[in-house]
Amino acid sequence: MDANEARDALTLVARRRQQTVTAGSAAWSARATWSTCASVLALGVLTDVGMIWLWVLLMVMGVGVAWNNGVRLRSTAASRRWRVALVGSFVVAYLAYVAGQFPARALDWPLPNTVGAAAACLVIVTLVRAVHARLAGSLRP
Amino acid sequence: MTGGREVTDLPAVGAAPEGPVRPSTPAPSIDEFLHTPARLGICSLLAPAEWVTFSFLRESIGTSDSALSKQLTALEQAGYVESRKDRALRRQTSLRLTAAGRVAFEAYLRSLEDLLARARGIT
Repeated sequence: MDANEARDALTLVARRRQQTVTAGSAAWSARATWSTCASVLALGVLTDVGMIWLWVLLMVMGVGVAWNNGVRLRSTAASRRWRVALVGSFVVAYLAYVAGQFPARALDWPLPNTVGAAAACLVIVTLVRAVHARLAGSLRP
Repeated sequence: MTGGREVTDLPAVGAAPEGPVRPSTPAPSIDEFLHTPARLGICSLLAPAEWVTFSFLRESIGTSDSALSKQLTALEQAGYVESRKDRALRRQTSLRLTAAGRVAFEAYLRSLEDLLARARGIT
């Protein structure tokens, strides 16, 4: 092996490493965000129409697969903190789901769970996605 | 190490552009088993990650399932890589470097860097 070959090999290594880091630290894609919101909305609608079993079936069929980007980077101290924040943001989304139902029920609207799910989607698109982007960024070595 | 892994001594790099190579510095040895584009690419993709899926490797390298499986089998037999079947809804295979694989890969990179340094006449 000569020095040029060694340099080429190191360049290849650096490029491949970067591919993994880029994939592993990517924020949610539009597809992942859409699939999350769609599953939350489906939960609301199907609860209202009494077909929660269908939601379970949809989940089993793998609606959430869009989240998987194929790479799990090693955790860092910062990423562990952001992971806790991500769980917290999902709790906020759940609270929005519950809180969103109150006005719908007070006004006697026919689909209170759907309204709650729409409120949860709003939190997911604004808060949860932003927290996830921070989490993904904190994974970069 | 098993699986046909070979470590060979590198020939001394001649004609250093910025100065002579010190004769006391031994020539770095290189892990010939890792020194193929396919296996090097796989290890480089696995190195920064905890786990990587088979499909990510296949798409990143741009190879076929069978060609990738063949390389992964060789790496597994050498003890460099381990695999697992995920318990997710859509079953898929994930892979990672073992501790031995990580050590061997880092040693391989060091030997490349040593070689470059010798070529520059730094060591």
